[in-house]
Amino acid sequence: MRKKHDWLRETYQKSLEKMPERPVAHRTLSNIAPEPLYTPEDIGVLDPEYEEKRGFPGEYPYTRGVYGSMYRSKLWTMRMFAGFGTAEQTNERFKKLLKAGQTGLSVAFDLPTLMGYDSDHPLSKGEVGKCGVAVSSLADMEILFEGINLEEVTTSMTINSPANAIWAMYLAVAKKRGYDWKKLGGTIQNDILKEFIAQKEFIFPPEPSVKLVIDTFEWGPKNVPKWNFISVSGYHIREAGSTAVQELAWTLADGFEYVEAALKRGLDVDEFAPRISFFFDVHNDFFEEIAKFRAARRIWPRRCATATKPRTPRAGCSAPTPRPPGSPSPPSSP
Amino acid sequence: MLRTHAQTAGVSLTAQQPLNNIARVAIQALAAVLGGTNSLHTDAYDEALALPTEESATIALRTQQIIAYETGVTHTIDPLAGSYYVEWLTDEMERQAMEIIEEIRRMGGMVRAIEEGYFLRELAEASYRYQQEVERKERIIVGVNAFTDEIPLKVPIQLVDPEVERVQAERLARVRRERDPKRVEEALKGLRRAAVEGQNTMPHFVECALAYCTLGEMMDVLREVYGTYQEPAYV
Amino acid sequence: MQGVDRRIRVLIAKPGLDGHDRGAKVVARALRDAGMEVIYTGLRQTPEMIVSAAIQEDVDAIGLSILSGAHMHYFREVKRLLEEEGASDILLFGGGIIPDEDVPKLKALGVAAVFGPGTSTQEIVDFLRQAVPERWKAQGLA
Repeated sequence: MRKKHDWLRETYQKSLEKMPERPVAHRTLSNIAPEPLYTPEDIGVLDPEYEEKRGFPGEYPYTRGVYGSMYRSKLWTMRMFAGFGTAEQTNERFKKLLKAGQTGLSVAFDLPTLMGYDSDHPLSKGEVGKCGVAVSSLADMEILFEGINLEEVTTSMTINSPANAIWAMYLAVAKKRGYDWKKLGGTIQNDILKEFIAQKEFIFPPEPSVKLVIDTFEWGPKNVPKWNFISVSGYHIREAGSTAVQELAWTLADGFEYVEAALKRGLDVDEFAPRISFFFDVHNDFFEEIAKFRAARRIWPRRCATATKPRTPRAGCSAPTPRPPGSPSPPSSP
Repeated sequence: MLRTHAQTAGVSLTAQQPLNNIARVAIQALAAVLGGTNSLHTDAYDEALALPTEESATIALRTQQIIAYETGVTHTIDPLAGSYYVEWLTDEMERQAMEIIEEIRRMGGMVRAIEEGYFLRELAEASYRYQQEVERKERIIVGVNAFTDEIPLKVPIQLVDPEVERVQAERLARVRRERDPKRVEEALKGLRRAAVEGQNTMPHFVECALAYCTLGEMMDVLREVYGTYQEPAYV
Repeated sequence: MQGVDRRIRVLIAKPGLDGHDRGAKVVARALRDAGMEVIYTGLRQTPEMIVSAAIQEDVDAIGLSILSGAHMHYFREVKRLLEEEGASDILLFGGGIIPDEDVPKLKALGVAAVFGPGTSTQEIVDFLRQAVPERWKAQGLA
């Protein structure tokens, strides 16, 4: 079994080289200094399934975290939704949130925008600017990000059916203002399958909708390589009334579906898979929620075991193993 | 490798005794952090009532900062690993989720399951069951079906300026007036061609955006090419 | 006595662009389980579609579920169309995310009841069981 000091020397150190520990006291209020990680060896117990099921942070199967040093080096990104009324009002809110110490922007759009209607369309009546900001053209997007350095912030946009168009508008703003697309970071939600399941903000039938998503898988890594062009979302599934288990299962099933569709188009899994991100709800049942995140991290790379080519640690995900319908699950091994 | 964002459960917020939501959000946010999330949005306590105010949004952000800087949960990675309950529950949720994933695969995948109404049925069942449990008080929600003595509480509510619609309409009119109509036409034509021929649409969306095509114009092109979807009304 | 075992017919509708239909469906199901006849229109209904369905289905009540903040607009429109069609005897009620300040304004429009988040479905059942037969009585139907 892999020893903790080996992990510390290898994965943890490597992680610190990229991102050193935060300059705060990693000590309890009694001045006890916890180590970055505790494992069965620290309390003298045996856990024969440790490596297979839990492993080490930053290592397969990632149950204990996707990065080697996790919050010791970098806290999670604190992101608050903003968006209401006009682009001017939202822009003002953005600037305030950035000043208050927020580390990423998050845009909520109004219903007409989410459904692909201009603000002056008859169906938009009464809904403009109500649940988020209205963006009908590049002019709105330019105002929305006025005075904000797009290479310095990361922007998360909750947009699905019209995701390609809205992302294009954001990129057009960047282009017009001379920012390098290669340096832009952010996320578009762009998860249409969960719209059909839960939130119902779909426009086109499922198949062409998925095709539009895969267009971003193909185009994104080559043009805006740091952008997460999909956030596979369980959040809305849960909010629509599912259980935590259903949220977990359906979200991952959506993720596998996109991977398969991208492979079908002949895309390189190592190019697109690292840019797939996820989005989960977190509800009241405390331990069930914690277990859900850990289970999600474990299922994804396990299930995405090699079909087309050897799994690379970087991607951590390649094609789901195809099997005849009805056959039992394969043993889950790396 | 699964990187994830998390958001506290909007659906768990109550309109009754809304300040209680600050406690709910804090507990949920702590679960997300102990679950190892990479990014987090915390809801504002007044979101069951309306859009958050500046103050309520700030409290939501401060909640994350308190967890991050004051609680010590960030000292060591995945501090709940090895808890008998958490490890067992992680295994159990994985097992149950894999069963569902297999079931969907047997149905022929997500698109088939959607078209057959599988999710509509499952969601209707799950949410109705939950509602019944709440009404029978098998599940207690503080301030809703128990402990309901209302402490009079005035929550300031963010209202949207009704002028928004007018401002937007004017800006749109100006955009349509001032843009280069020829470039617009060409860009939309390019988008249509890509959609019809099954080419990648992204470069065309970028050109449409730069040409100041409106969102509605772009989506209308695709509505014509792809058609629209109506789901069955299932209760 | 012909009205005694007449079943209450209710149309549950989601007007506008919002697709959050969990509440609408839970209510529809609860009313059905309480023995009422429920017609659920599905998503994205215009006020015109809602009123015409209500008349065609000869319902006693219309329940609108609105979470998007556009409630003033939709209730006003539905009420106006009901009057235009001479169907203002149909009881109009609703629920969703509706600020307290707006409730009196909606009542003044003629909305019979507004149910906020956390309302038990039993409350809605009780309301209809009382309000609908009262209307029948007033119209000499029961």
